[in-house]
Amino acid sequence: MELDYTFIVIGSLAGVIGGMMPGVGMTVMMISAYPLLVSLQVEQIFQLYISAILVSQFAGSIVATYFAIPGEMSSVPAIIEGHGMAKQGKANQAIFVSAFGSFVGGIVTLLILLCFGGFLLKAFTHFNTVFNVFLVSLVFVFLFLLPTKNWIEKFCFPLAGIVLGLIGTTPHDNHDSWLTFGIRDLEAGIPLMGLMIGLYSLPLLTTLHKNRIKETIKITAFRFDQINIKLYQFGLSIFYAVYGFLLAFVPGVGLDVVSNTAHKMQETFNNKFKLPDKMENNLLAAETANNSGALSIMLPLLAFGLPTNTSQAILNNILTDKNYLFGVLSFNQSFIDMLLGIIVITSFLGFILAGPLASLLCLLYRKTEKFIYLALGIILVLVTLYSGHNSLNLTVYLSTLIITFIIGMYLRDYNVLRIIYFFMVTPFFVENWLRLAFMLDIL
Amino acid sequence: MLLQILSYIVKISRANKTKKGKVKMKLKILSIILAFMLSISANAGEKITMILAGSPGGTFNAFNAELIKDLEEAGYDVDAQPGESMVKGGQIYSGLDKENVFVFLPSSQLNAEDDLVDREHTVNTTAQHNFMFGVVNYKSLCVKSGTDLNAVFNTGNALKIGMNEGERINDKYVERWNKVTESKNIMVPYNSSGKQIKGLITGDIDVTLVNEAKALRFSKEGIVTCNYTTNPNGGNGFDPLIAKINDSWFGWHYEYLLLGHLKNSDEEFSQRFHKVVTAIINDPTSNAGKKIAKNGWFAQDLSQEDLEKKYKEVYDATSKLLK
Repeated sequence: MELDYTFIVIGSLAGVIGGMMPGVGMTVMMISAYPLLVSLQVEQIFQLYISAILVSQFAGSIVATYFAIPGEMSSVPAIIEGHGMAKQGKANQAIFVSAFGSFVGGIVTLLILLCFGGFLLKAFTHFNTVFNVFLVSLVFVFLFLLPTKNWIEKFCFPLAGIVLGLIGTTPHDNHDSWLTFGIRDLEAGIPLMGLMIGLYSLPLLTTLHKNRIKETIKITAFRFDQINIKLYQFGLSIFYAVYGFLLAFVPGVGLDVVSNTAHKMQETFNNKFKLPDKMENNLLAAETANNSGALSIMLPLLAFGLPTNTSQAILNNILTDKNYLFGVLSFNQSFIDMLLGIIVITSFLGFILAGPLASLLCLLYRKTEKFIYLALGIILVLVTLYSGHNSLNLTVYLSTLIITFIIGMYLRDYNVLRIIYFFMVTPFFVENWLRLAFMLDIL
Repeated sequence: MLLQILSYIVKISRANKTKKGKVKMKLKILSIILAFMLSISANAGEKITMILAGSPGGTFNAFNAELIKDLEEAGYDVDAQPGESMVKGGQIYSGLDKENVFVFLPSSQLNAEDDLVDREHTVNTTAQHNFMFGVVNYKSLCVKSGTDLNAVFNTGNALKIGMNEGERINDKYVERWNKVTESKNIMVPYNSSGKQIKGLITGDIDVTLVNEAKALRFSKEGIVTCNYTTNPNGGNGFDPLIAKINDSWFGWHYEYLLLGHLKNSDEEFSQRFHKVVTAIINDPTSNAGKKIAKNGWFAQDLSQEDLEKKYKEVYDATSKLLK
């Protein structure tokens, strides 16, 4: 796979927009870019997506610091610490610490891949059905254990996700189907895009459009004389980069978990070792772990075809349509080389964007904030209808969009992503369990 | 030609200066333009709507893309429409009420499966004049590279066999295999040929029957060893499976038939198109011909009558396998 700089640059720009869009992030960016993505080649899609993911981690901390709203859920520590620092007149230092942490996270990821890439290639040849069953069951348990608001979120949401995920062609054998009630249009399953936009994105955009930026501080130009990083902080960032990489590799652990646990861990270290610059350290820990985890969180998808977040699910959909096979047949040395190239480029690019150019991006964001959610909402609906038309399944796409939007508006105070996660993981879960049953001659 | 006409129009306009002459001149110019437009439409390629049945990045549509290039070179004006999956593409084809609609898919297999569940045929045009061309392909028996493929024919085995034909057909093959080799092999279902190969590499399965396109590709890469094919005559460097297994059951030489169907066209167009497209796929230097060779498929040089017979043969064989 050769590097195509055009797609890395486009991906980085998408990452800036996705990262700075409070609460929306990469999922919406992926859906908006869907018509473009389906027309690209597999290598180009990967380069665009990975660049966007990596740069979005840099950009997320900018809006968190200045406007106290998280671009991604993993930017919550950046609000607590970054915005706290900004209110003390240290916005530049907060922005720089975030960018520095993300940069170190990227570079450490690069080194880990350089050292252990060959080992990963060998390991992939052992990821068989038994391993997949163990892995996906772990994900299911983890998803169940996540804290919820009440019993509806705890039990009904997963059940709804599982039932919806089962509709369509059977996961282990495409000559049969489940829960289609004789409707052939349902054989392709419930469209993820319609479900996600209706249930999650549109209700979220509606809420965001109503509740625009309330708290803000004066945006100042970036000045190098206002920043400094201490040597021990450099050591801290390396530690959290390794921590983030390892933790995010566990399927089901999202980047929000990675950055928030790193944040909490550093709070404990600060108190135990009586470290100075507490806010800076906390911010550095969260941002570094977050960025190094941004790549390793993709490894379950690359290794097994198991998406662990919604933007990956869209990527998975697009690549599966292109007959791309995840795992040992596609994850090879040339793929690792491509990853390394992207990490180098995006780490430098992200550092510049989230450092010296941060104030410029913030001003731009404030100017467009009034229209952005509305425009995004319209784009999302149009893209869904376009996809429905393209796949000649407009009726199913439209019905899914309308029905789930009504339900999504009704459930907008709940974590509906729980339904979507279960919907995404169910086919992989069922496919591997059934295959294991066949292998053991139970079925 | 256009330049000649333009110069003629200029000549007329210069020659007619009177009022009556000007009216005549306008009429002449109009009639020339009309004649010109008619001549253009008469020379334009005959329009065909091609339904791209199959996944967007799949083998079928990669072939369709090459065929479109050849058809356009042959003077046809091809309007390609996405068909998403094979079944969906077939349904669109059957439901479309346009002139000269074309689709390429394994119609005999799909229609036989429809009959089994008492469903409308996916491809509802199976009269002689609807058949345009045929391509046959086979499956190959593969094991992980470095493993002895011949050992799978031993008696008393307990192997895991990866299959991708749907539960009914999968079970038939493994049951027969067990009967012939007096073994207790187990069937493991898959939903794609790529996953079957992955299953071999990770050790989920010991042996698999996979399409020859994949068998050829991964044999070349040294990932798998595939020596036997369901092609009764052997081919693509593989020996016939039926001879090796020494059993006359029709499943060991079952062939996959891919057919080009055309509908809503007159008989003259249908016959001409059949000749053109059959010549294209049998030409090893054409784009489609090259793709056929790369996929390990076999282009058929058959009349429309023979294509209809072949459709029925494979339809009957599939029905037999499914029952």
